[in-house]
Amino acid sequence: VRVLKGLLGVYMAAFTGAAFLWPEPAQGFVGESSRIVFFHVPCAWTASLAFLVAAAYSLAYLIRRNPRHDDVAAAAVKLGLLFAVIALVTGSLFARIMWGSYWNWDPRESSFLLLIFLYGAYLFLRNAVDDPDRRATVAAAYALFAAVLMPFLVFVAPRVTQSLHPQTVINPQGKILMDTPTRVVFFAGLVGFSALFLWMLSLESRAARLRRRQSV
Amino acid sequence: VYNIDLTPRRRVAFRFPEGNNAGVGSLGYLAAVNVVVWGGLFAYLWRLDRRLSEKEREP
Repeated sequence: VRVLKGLLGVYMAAFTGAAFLWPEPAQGFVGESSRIVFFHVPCAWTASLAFLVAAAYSLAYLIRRNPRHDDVAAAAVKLGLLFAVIALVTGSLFARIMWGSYWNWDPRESSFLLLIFLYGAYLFLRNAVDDPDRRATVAAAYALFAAVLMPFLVFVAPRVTQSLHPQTVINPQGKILMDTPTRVVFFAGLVGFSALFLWMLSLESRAARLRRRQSV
Repeated sequence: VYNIDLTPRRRVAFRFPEGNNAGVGSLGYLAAVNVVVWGGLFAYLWRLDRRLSEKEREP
């Protein structure tokens, strides 16, 4: 496992180098700004993945009442928020370059901000309940409620409205409009960020388990 | 609505429009910042992993 973690470091270093040096800049973007897609989209993808993991573990907690499931769900939401904020910040930088303003009230910007508020409320909710069992139950129920809204905010709302946002990978033509180097680096980024998330999820869950063990 | 795809075009110099984003310099600068951020993150995660393993081994 240690070797795999080391390899992930090498993989991400290679990915970062490739993202800056291999693909040519894309059509319709100012200068080299299209390279932000290699970091921005994987962050948004990883945030969605994290919120789905949180929903799965929340459901598992409600069925089995195992506190470890609650630890993983809470860790997944924290990490999902981290990746969502990075996606929002990188998106704002891109918006400044392409559209002249950090914030344009674009449907995708707004829906992602709502997503951050939605899951930010999960953390406030957890902090508001003292009893650990009750906290885990309420948080799990809320995570499932948020998971119903999440696909609408990430995948549906921005697609049914007019948007400044560049075409997404899942576009109306049903084609991935990228040349081979861009496609390779892009999907390598998705894999790398997902692996990084899993490692961080494992660390945060283990830390939560230790905190719980020490508090008993 | 912008209709943009990610097919390549010829390589151009990394230059923002005049007066826009004056604080950002070059591709090399951005790559260096990325390497530092990634290096720092991995060092932190590696150290955290090791410390957690030590704590988990404690009775």
